[in-house]
Amino acid sequence: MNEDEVARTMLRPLDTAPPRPSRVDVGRLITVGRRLRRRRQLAAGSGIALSTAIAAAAVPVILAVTSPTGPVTAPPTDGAPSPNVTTEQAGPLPPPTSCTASRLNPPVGTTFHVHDGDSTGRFLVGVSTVDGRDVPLLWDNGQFTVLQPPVDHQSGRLVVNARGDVAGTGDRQNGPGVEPVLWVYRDGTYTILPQLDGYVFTEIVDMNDRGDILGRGFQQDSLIANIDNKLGVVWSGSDLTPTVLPKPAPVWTTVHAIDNDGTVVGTVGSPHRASMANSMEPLYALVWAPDGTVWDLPAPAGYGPGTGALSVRDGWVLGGYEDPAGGRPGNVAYARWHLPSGLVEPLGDQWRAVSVINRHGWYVGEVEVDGERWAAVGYGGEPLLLPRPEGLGPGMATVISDDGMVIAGTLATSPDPARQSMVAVRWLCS
Amino acid sequence: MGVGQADADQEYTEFVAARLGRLHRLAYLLTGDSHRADDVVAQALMGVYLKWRKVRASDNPDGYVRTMVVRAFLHERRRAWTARVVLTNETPERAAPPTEVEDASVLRAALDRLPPRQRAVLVLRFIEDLSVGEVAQLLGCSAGTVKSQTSHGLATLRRLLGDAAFAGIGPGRKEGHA
Repeated sequence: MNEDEVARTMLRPLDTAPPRPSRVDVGRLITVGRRLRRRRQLAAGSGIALSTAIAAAAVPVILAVTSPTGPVTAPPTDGAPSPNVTTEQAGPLPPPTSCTASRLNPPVGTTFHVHDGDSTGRFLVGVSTVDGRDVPLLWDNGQFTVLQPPVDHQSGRLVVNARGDVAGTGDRQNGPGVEPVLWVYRDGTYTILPQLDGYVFTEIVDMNDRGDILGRGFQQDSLIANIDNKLGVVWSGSDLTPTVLPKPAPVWTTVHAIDNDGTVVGTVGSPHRASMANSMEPLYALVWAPDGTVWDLPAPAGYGPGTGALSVRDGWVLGGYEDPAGGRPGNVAYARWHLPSGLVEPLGDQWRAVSVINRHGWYVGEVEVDGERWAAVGYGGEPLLLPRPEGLGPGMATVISDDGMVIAGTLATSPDPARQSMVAVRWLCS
Repeated sequence: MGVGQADADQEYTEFVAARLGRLHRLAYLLTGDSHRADDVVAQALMGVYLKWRKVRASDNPDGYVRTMVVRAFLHERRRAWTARVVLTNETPERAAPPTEVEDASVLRAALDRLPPRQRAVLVLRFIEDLSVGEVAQLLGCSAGTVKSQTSHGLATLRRLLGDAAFAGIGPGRKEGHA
């Protein structure tokens, strides 16, 4: 076998169909293309730079972005708990010091990816893959329910809150095309989330305990294809009315999480630019407060400028920042922010990925220790490695309850790579 | 809108509809993500629409559109680090022998760590089965550059997946034929 043949053999597992059909709407492309062409003709006639013309038309109002509090930077953690964090913000509960693990075997299929869990530790949601299709599952304190949302194909992230409401994303055939279907399961009933004229909402990303659902989408009648018109949307928990979050600049916005008070965090292209021309500027973690104000989160002193936010809970935000000299993949390091105090604290070099943060500022994800990767929980100091049930390998913790006593995630089976699959694990900590 | 434009739009619609699945698949191979693949395809097809007369008059419209998709991927407006910051479902990396790399997610995670241009070269050469010359033309670079990108990309994959995974491929060995 020559080199090319070996490489083809190696890469062959990737030669599969995408998990869902394309959602590109050709009719919308033509509509937008016609308008863009007219703009180009106008711009050519008037001598206006095209990129400026497009940007100005795409988002006519650029909101001011401010930092309400000055950043307070803590030094990188070196194993000792941070006094800035643990004295007041950790609350009355001391962090757990040990955890025991158990596998969660799904009722269908053999794999189970845990997507989300609620703040009490009672509920988990995720998918099992059966015959190449994702089957959504709800785990309620030991009892599995196979969910049957009104979609042709389930795709994307499932989320659950403390009421046991579940929301997710799927696809449904509509004439010759495929349309996204965003759904919520409450009290035994499935409801399709409403769209809004002028927008296409494409996926669910989070839900808080009062039932507010956070999603992503794009502006339908924009001059540019959706790559630069991504935005966030919140469906009210009371009546599922969608509200589009304001964009601070004419660039894409990726929302990630919503807190119980309605605070949303996400990432946006540089808020300090006004045109598409300098599109490689860094990204910024952004906070949308319930009162309508929007501000960006600073990187720890000496790092950045780029930042990103992934999770929010009771004033704590979990995310990352650019660290080009750190030598980590993607030049990313991780941090937590405490919004009331302005604290920003690097988590430490061991962290390779992070997922969620709880009301005490405790967080879970994946660390690397001596070249080996572990699911882990952090309390502001040295991470606590989560034990693996026998026969399981590395993986990622993606759920932590508010009291820190329940953690969940997905680990790889091992040691046989040929039969490796992903299974759910739940840790009880004390 | 004139009749000529309406006809052109109809042609464009039929052309794109017949190829959308294939283009989405290519973009998915490059990005590893269906949503990003949609973005890349949408961006490319917008360019195709704006240059439709030129595209349909070209000798190889399919090659032209494929080039637009690959270039849209290479010019995707994202910082690389945000793609690393993910919430769930990241499959852990681990070394694996060559015949046992059957878990596509492990391979995908390794491929995603390559620079976009190296990733594109490997996808186009070894999954799309394009020759070195075709990839060079598509990327607008020399055949030598394609070969060096191939070599660097495979070397990185070998490092990420383990030497055993690439038994038979070495940096000093001869590259494939154009």
